[in-house]
Amino acid sequence: MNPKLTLLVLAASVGACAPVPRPEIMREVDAARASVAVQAAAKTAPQAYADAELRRTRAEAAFAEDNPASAQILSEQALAAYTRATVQARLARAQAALADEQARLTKAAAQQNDLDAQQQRFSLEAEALETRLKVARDAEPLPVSGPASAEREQARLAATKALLSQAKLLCMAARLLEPNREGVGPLLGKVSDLSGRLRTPPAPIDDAVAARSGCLKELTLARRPATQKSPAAGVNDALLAELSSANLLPFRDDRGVVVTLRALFNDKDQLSNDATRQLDALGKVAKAHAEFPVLTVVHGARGSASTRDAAQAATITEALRKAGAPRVAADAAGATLPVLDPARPGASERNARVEVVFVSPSGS
Amino acid sequence: MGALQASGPDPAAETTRLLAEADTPSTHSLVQDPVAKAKAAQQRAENARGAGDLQHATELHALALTWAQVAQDLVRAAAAEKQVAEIQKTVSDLEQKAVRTQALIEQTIARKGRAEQNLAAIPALAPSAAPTSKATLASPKPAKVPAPAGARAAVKK
Repeated sequence: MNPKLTLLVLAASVGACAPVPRPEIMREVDAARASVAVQAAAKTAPQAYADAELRRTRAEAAFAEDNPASAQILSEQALAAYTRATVQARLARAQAALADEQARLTKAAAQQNDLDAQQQRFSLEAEALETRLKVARDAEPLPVSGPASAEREQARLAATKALLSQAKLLCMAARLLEPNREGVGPLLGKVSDLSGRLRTPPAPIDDAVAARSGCLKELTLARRPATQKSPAAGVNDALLAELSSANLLPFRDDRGVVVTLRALFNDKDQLSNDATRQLDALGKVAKAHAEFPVLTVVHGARGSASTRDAAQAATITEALRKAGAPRVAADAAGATLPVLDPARPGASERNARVEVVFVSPSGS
Repeated sequence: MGALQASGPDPAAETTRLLAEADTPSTHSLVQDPVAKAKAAQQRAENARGAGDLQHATELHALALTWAQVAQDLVRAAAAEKQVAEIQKTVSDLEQKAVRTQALIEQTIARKGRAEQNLAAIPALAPSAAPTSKATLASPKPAKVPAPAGARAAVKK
């Protein structure tokens, strides 16, 4: 045989027996499989890991069967499946954390609800005690006011008028809540009697203080059953919020929730269109909150309450009733309770006003 | 799992559906790599099918489906992680609020204690100074705070 031909045949036979090199992708699969992330995923996402392993095995089998094209594609599948196993492990961790956090949230929300309820209860109890304390202090025997200078006597007279007005309004509020309350009638009689004694000095300021304390006590006692029945009801806050949202600028005092209105009447002493609308809206609020009776108070700019004030009070009462307010009482207080010193410029416009009082049915 | 067997719906259609779900403007940056790989595998599968190589076309469709599933799982994992972060923030806010409420409760208990002491100091009311029965008081118990000087003024509204 030709030596050259012999060499060629030998070379060809050696080449035919040489192993085919592993494709690069299979080395990538091996590296991915050995990585920390995939080994962790084997525990956290075992199904996805098993799927990747199956694909890798099939790729190895295809390579062993001398099918490099399938080995390439199945290796790519294995690489994608290992990636998916790591993503599923991440998902499983996130879902476990989510369950933990939701449990923490539920616990924290329940704890907060509990704390809110505790705070509301303690707050109501503290307010009730403070109210009792206030009433008790007001009822304590006061030192008798002795003779005073003319100027001081004038100031006492103004204070006495204010105290008597407040006493009357507090007693009226108590009577609205409990029409048959026994203590209210004598107190109103006393207020009327004291008002008649204002013309002759000295002003009965000590008696006026006692009358006011008595009326406040009656109002507190009239509220007690509702307060004890539902100490955390928060009905006053709810009404206050509702009136505030309607831009009526309400405020709270001993009587309840108060809305102040001005310039309701035109020159002919008729309700203006705006006033009618306002009273209609307030009447509807009173209808929706039937547990709050309404006390309407007409305050004048100067002097005592006039028949005109009384007529206006009656007109307002009628308008509120027409709009649906179930329980309404009215009073004219004259200029006994000014918001500004009557001597100040512009005080008349501020002091002449109408208060629509939603009498609080409970202390909560 | 089981993409190799390609059980259930047509793998090509399933891949298209998963990609449409996973690849949205808000998730694009998150899934762009697996989506690109899925689309490339889809293209290779179509080429193989066009060349009459059905076996490799099937394998490539399975590859495309696996990458599409990776994209879908990534979106789900990111959504869960985001939800975890949101809840953690809410819990943290609630815990801070609880601390503030607890402080407020302690202040209110002290206020109540002052009012009780002041009421007890009024001789006429001493026997029934505290109207709230102990049974109605849950823990924490009212703090025994001594009435400070000027407590009268403090309790007035």
